[in-house]
This record gives sequence, C-alpha cells and structure tokens, in this order.
Amino acid sequence: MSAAPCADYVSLIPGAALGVLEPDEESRVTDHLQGCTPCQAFSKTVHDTLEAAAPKGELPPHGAYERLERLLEPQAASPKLRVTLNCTYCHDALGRAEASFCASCLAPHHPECFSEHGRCAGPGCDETQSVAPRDVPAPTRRRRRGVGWLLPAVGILCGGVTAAAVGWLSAEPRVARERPEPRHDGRTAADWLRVASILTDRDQSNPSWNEALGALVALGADGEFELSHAIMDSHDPQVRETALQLAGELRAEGCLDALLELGWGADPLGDPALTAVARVLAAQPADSDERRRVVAELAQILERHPARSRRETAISVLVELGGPIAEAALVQALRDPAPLIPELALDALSRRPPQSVAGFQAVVAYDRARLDRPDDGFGKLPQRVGAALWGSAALGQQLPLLEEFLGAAPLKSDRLAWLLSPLGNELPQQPLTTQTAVARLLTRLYEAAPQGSPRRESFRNAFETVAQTIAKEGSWSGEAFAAIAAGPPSDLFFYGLRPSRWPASEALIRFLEGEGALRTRLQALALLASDARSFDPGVAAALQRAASSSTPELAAAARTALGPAKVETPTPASSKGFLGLSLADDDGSGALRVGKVVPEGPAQLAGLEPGMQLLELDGQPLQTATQFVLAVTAKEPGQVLTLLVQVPGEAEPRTVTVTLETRPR
Amino acid sequence: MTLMRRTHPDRSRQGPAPRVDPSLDADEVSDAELVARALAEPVRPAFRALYERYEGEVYGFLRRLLGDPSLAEDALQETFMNVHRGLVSFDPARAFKPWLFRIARNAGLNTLRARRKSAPLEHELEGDGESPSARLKAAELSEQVRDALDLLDDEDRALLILRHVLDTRVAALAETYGIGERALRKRLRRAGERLAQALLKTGGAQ
Repeated sequence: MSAAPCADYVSLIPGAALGVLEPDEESRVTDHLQGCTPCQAFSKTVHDTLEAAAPKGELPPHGAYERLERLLEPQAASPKLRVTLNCTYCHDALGRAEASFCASCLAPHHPECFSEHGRCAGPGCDETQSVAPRDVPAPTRRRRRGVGWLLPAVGILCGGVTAAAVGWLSAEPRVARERPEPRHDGRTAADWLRVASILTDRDQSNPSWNEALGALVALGADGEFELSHAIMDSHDPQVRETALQLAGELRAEGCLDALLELGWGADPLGDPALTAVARVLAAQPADSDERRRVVAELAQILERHPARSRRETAISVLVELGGPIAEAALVQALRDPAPLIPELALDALSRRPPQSVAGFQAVVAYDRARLDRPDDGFGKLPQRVGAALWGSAALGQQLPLLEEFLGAAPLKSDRLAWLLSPLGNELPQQPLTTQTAVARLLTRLYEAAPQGSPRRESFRNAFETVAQTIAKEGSWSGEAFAAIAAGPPSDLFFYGLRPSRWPASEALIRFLEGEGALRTRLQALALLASDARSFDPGVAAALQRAASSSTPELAAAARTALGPAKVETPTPASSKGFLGLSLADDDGSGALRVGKVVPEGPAQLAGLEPGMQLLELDGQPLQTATQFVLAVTAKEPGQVLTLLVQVPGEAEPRTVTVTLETRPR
Repeated sequence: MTLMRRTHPDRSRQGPAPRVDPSLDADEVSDAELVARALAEPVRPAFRALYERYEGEVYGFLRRLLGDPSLAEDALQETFMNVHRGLVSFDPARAFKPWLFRIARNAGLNTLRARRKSAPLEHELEGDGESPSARLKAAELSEQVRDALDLLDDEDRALLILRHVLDTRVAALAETYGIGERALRKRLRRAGERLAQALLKTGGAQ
C-alpha cells in the first residue's frame, strides 16, 4: 500500500495500541479504522513495532552469576588483608589500644619504646611528648562504587607522611620491607623535611619541589623506603598518588614491593601503582631476576585479581614488559570469562606477537564467533588476531594450523580481509623460508576458494602482499621465485621484480611458457627482452619459441622483441642502445615517469630529469612500460629518439631528442 | 508470575552444579521472602535464587536496550550489584519486580550514556561492518521497525521494552518509574507519538 495515514490519527493510533487513550478518543480511532485502509495498515505497523520491542528471552552467557558473585565477595578471592600498627621505634606489632602516639606527628610507639628513646622515633620529629587515645574508634568501612570493597580507613591515626607504620599484610607475606639504618648527620633531617614537603605539597611550580626531589634522590635507599611508606600508609590519597608517581619517575626499585602490594589491593590507586611498576622496571635489563620476579607477580595479578580494571591495567603493563612469562599470562587471559579482558589480551598480543607455539595456538583458538560479531565494541578484532598470528615467531612451525584456520568454515569476507591485512606489516620480520611457505599457503587457499568470491580476492591480495615483500628483500631464492610463479596471476613485475635481481632467467622462462594468464606471460616476455644481461642464448631460444607460439599476441610481442635481424644472432649487450634512464614504479595513475637517470648518461645530457612524464616516443603515444622498453631496446647506439615529455608544473609538453650511446661497461 | 526456566545450554553442559537450594526454586516462595532471606545472608542461596528468578528477564531487557551482549552482561552485573547493595533500603511492603527494573533501567541507561560518551569514533570505524545496501537488501518490515525503534531516544525505547517485561501493566510500570498512573499514561502516549513519527520517517508506514 502506498497512501500515507491520515495526519489527524497518526499520533492517536500508537496511543490506542498502547491502551492509553481517553475513552472518547479510543472510540473515534476505532470508528475511523474501520473505514480507512492506510490507517489500518499504519495501525498494524505500530502494533508490529511495539511487538518488536519485546525482549527475545535470551539468557546471560554462562558463568554470569559466578562473575557477579566474585564482585560481591571480593574478600574471598583476594589476599586477606590485616591491618596492624607497628611501633615506629622497634617496628614490632602494636595493639591499637596500648599504643601511645607522638604528640606532634602521631607516630605510634610502645609506651616503653617512647620512653627508652626519649622522643619520637619518626624521622625529622624530635617531639618529647606522647599522647594516648581516650577512645579508639572501630575502623570505619568505605564502600567503593562498582566493586563494593571494604577498605579499612586507617587514616585517622596517620598524622604525617612518616607517621604511621601501618602494614598491610597479605596471607602470603612477600619480602618484608626493612628499614635502612637511619642516618644521623644534620643534613639528613633537613632532607627529610624537604621530602615531606614534596609529598604533602604537590605544587610542582614551587621552587622547593626540585630541591626536594634532589634530596629524595640523595637519600638513596632511605628515600625509597620513605616513598614506599608514603605509598602504602599515608592517609592522604594525594600524597600516596604523588609518592607512587615519584617512585616511577625516580625508577625507585626499593618501592617495587609497595607498588605491587598496592596493585594487589582493592584501592583505586592500584592501577597507577602498576603503571609505576612498569616505569621502574623499564630501567632494568630484560633478563634480570628482579624483573622476572615482578613480571611473574603481575601475571598473578592478571590471573587472580577479582577487579576487572586491575586486570586490564596488568595487561597493559605486561605488554610493555614482555618476555615469556608475560606472554603466558596474556595467553591465559584470552580465556578470561570477564568481558573485554580477552579482547585486551588479544590487543596486547597483536602489539607483541607471541613467541611461543602455545601462544600462537591460543590465538588461533581464540573464539572464532567473536571475529564474526558485527560490533565487537573494540575496533577490528580480526586485525588484531591477524597481527598476532603473522608476527608470531612460531608462524613458521605452525603453518598447517594456520591453513586449517583460514580454510575452515568461512569468516565473513570483510573479517577475512581484516585478518589478512596486517600481513604486509608483519611478514617482513619473518625469515624468507616462512615468507615463501606463506606464499604457497595463500596460493592453495586461493585455489580452494570459489571462483569470483570475495574470499578468493582476499587471498589473492594477500598473496600479492607476500610477493611484494619477497621482491623487496635483496636476497631471495629460486624457491621463493617458484612459489610466486606458481601463485595467482598478478602484476608483480611492476612491483619491483626486476630480472637483474633474479637468480636465473630460467624462472622467467618458466613464467613465459607456463600456463599463467596471457598478461603475466607478456610481462615475462617484456622483462626477458628488456634486460641486456639476461640476453643469453637460452633466453634467445625461449623468445624464438615464443615467436612461433600459437597465441598471436605473444608471438607478435616476441617477434618485436627479437627484431628481424636478431632471430639468428642475438645482439650482444654492448651493441644495444643505451638511454641511461629507468622508469619510476607505477604510482597507480598509469603514467610513465622517469625514475632515475644515469649521471652524464644520454638521458641526462638531453635534459630528462626524474619525475617527468613520458607521453610519446617517436610520435607514438606511450601506453605501457613494456612498449617503451621494447621500443628503446630495439634501437642501436647512435640512433636518435624523440620524446614528448610533460614537465611537472609546465603548461605545455616539450620535445626532447636523445642520441643513444653504447652501454658503458 | 511466571518463573523463567533455566535451560541455558552451556549451563547443562559444563557449568558447575547449581547451588540453589531446591526449596528456594519453587514458585511458592515469594519475592518478599527471598529478599528477607537474602538480606539475612547476603550472597547466599536466597540471593542467588532471586538472581536466577529474574536474570532472564533483566538480561533480555538489557540485551534489547543495549544491543551488545557483553554490554548487557556488564549492565546485568551492575544491576544486581546495586540490588545487593540496596536490599537494605528495600521496602518489603512494595513489589520487588518494579524496583528491580527501576535499577535495571538506570543501569542500562547509564551504560548507554557512558558508551555514547566514550565510543562515537569507534562506532564510525565499525560502520563498514554492514553496508547500507546490504541492509536494504534484507529490508523487511521487521528491519524498518527496528530502525524506527533505533530512532527513538533511549528513555522511550526503555519504556517500550519495559512495557513488555512488566506484562503491560501500567500500574507496575508506574511503580518502576516512581510516578502516578496518569502521569505514566501520558508518558506512554508521548512515546507512542514519537514512535509514529519515527515510523513515518523510516518508511515503515508505507
């Protein structure tokens, strides 16, 4: 039906469908609908639309409740945290009720320790008075949005930066932080004060900031200890954030444990703490024990931490650090049931492709259904899978698996193209044997795909990329050439496959006499004819065979190439005319341009320069590079060429006359 | 009320054995009773029973509203985390389902808002997943209808989806929205008018 519904009823009909009209309106609509066909149809569409809004009764993916429960019961999965006080003087555990606190900085002490020391043991504090709490409040609990973790608020007792010694002890205690021997020269106290200022006063424009930073560095292990202290125990989140930033900036190895501890916890600062870990470790050699230890711990965080955001941060840090342990953890994370974690892990693996066979296999096994999802919410997922696979060090050993993967139940064609697209970037890193094997693999897949399908086209494009990659390599083998020659027809010759770079002209002859497309065979012919060095008896024989070929185009081209006088005795290279000019690679426009000119060669002497476009040769319009090459090589030294060239930026083409010379030896 | 049966294929194949106490799985146990028991021992069988009683409906609603399964699962988790957190303040004299869906609706709309803020660019990049011509080819009435629904703003869409979830009862909807029945009828009516305009625009009416 084509007529539009009546304007008066357009807004009433949905109301009727929803059952929210006033009674009089309702009866008006009912009456009208009986007589008006367009409105009846519209009413039906409205009903259908409202029906279409109904949920389809899907159930959440498997394990949704378990994941929810993990969020609700974080303590069960996370290391148990116990909050204790430690005496600032003897560092022994201390009951909150029995502690006495420094009157000035509130650092906790055993009463007898305070009296033994005679004053506060906090660095930079010489207070001689202590206070005792009248009524110690129970630790208050904060809820965090999204995680609902309960964090002990211990801040009330922490007076200054260095005041409270509150230890978060995990169920499996890691390396205990041991306080370095305090130094008692006068300078240190002043340094501590500056350090305190750096932590409490975040104003980096303050001139004392740099001075304090210097002091912190000068304090060495003491300074790092103090930073760790501030990171873990300060009551002021800003102080803690500054401290952990500083730990990263100063590459403070002494703070690694504190940073990791924070990373294990539920505190939102755990994320920047892990980032700081990466900065600290960046300064260390890749194979140091310390680095391995920390990476292993980060891997644990990625595997076991209940909060997704922390696992995400762990991924970004692990990919920065790299190494086999990190890779194993990322591979493991591919199977993480939480949303986004596998995608992030895959992203990481695409930036640092797997070195191990297990890593490669895991990427292949990555949920295929995800690759076909219309919106993975994460950009082009197949591209990441592709980057991880093509760049993997295990690619060479795992080609059968890859072939099975690419050849199995088809991905949507655009997904397949994305999967193949990183090949151009990643393949040059692979050894030539692998590149050759990939070319063979793609040829097989190309041949297996149905004629004319986008899938076939994808494999052909990928194959061309491989062939170009191989062509760009200086050293390449006859085997690589054979792999390319056996592949789908392509315009390879203009991509940089030049006969002078080939190991033998037999390969070209195989091309010429092969079963390939006519275009390919003509290209082979042109190349054989164009390169003087390949003009050996074998080539001449092949050209003669081509001249009597049953394919008319091929025979004609071969006859042109040979020339009437050259059929019997091939022209020696030295007797062919020399122009001293090479053509630029095809930029896609089809225009023939001068690529390079030989210094002092005939072309340069005649005024030809790189970039000029060649329009006509001896009055004949130039269409293809082959035509140009054949025409030039057909001439002898001393003969004159007339070229019509277009100089970029000039309105009119100009005519250039070149006298060919003898090719220099 | 109808209880969604749990027939998730994955669950029967490889999931851990259900931990729900059978006594909690029966229809006779009321929502209010489950809430009371869930309050008494949070994240224990009663809470899980509540969860399983409604996961299908809540997820179905969110899936319809958000489109993406993983976003829907995130919103589902947020919903039940908020439920867990809010059980203390839940008034047992009121019905549980409208309250639950008020939370689910907020979680869904928040997710949409956050996504819109963070991902417009990604969306553009992803646009080539399905070309307009491919869409045209597959154009059926249902496609146009879906387009019309997409043209509505999130609030209207949520309302029209919720209408199905809450058995088209205006009273339950009104309670979910925390407004009176008359006000809700007005709201439905305006959403209907905008839907009509959207249908005219997408050609669903022709």
